[in-house]
Amino acid sequence: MDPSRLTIDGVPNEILLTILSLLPTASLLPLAAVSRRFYSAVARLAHTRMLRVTAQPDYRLILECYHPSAKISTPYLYCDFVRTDSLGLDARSPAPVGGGEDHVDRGLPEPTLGRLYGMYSHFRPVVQEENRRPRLRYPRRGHATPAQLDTSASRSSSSAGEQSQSRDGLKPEPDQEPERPSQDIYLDEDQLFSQLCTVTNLVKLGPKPGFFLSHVNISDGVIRVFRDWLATQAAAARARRVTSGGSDSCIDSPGQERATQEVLWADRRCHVGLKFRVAEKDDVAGHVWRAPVLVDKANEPPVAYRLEFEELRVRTSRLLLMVERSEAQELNTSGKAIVIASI
Amino acid sequence: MAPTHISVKNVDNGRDGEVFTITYQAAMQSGILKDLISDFEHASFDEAIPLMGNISDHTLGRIISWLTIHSRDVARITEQVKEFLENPQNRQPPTGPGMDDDAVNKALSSQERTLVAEKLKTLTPWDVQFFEVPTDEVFDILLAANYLDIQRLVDFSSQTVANMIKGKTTEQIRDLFGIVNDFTPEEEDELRRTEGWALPRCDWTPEQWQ
Repeated sequence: MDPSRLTIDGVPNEILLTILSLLPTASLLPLAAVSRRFYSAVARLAHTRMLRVTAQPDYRLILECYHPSAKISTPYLYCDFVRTDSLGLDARSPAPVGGGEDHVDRGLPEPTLGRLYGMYSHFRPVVQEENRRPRLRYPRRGHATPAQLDTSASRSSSSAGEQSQSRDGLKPEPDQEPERPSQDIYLDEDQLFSQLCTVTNLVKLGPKPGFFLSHVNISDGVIRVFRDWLATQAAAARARRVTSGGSDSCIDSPGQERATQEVLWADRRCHVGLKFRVAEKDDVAGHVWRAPVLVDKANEPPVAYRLEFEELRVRTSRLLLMVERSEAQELNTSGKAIVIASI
Repeated sequence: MAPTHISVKNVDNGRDGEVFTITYQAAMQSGILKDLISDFEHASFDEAIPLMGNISDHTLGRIISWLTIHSRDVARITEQVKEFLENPQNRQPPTGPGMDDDAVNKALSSQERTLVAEKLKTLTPWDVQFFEVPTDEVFDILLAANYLDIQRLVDFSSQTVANMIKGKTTEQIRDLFGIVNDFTPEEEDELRRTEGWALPRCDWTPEQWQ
């Protein structure tokens, strides 16, 4: 080895990894195109970072999912981390490109950027205590719970397209499975679909609830729920309930999931998706749904469904980039605070 | 008794290199020198310690100067941090009258450790100037520091290389480090097609992630 002719090629792997690990992911990823050695180092680093990103204790995902007309009144939902896909689960990922002869872990397939891109993190939206209480104290018309709907005789039947965020029960039993947040969908005659604005944000929790140290938007899109899709999903959910004897078995193979289109994506690039459990509204909590008197066979009848949020899926690579952006934001704005509050 | 000064010299292929002398304290920053000194505690240190790391005299000289400049860093920075923490306003979390002495001391020492570690990681203006040399010389220093087990110098040189990489296109990085593109044209096409999420074009900007 001639010391005067040293380049990065003469540097041992652990030093190359030390150098690359100092770079933020956004500038790290393009380096994969430099050479095979870089590719393998970059993919390995990215993989490690992606597996670690959901372990950050201070960061929470916030999901807002609302009908455009109910933007102000719909509360946001925190999402609990469930799991991140492991490598190689996705059969669509292409064969490895580039060398990776020094990948130690033989049990797992070589992390390629394609495989890493196919990794998703799964989250479960949960109802927040802080959002639940004011709701019961100040029930507003648009957000009446099913029980209140039953008793309010003066109230006209829900108008088409109206959304109401509702809860499964007024007084949940302590032993019960934690209640799932849900969203009701009403489709008028001949209305083919309804829309749900889906906004996902990453926040860093501050010292007080509702106080965020940093805030980064992950996606801001619209989910369309079509009449056909709702009918298929409701039927599938019913069938599942019958076969599994009422228990919730939601272990589906990815292939099956794609075939049934269970996940609705909020953006074109499939960064963020939502998985719902669909139930026809009239068999939920005995809500009175006034059937139309005359129905033309050619017309589509009005329908009502309840969508329970089952899962939020976020592309792990996207999440990682956003967490890093959030960290940068926090560094830049340390010492200043923007407080937006209704007092 | 520990010696006050240590001499080292390069031994390459039987050729004796220049002899450098540094203080004991400066030498202790290198894991290799530290081990050598503790192994031969009772020997005399009149003779220079031979080094076989394939390091050029020029690089060794630069590393010796780095070791000398940074020899008192830990003590100096610890002192600075202690002074900084004298002021109760700088303490995080703030120590109040309700806390007992043990808790206060515990919180202080953990904050002190974090601050010292942070400061030791930061390149001083002197270091920035130290690394204003051709790229291959930076790698010489990096490899020699790795051989001599000077963790802080390894970190500093890595940081310098990372800063060089930042904001450069694939082609510029290949030029800078003299890397040969070992992807075949077909593989490059494949890369661009299937993995375009990471490497769309040469004029890549983070904004394209939007």
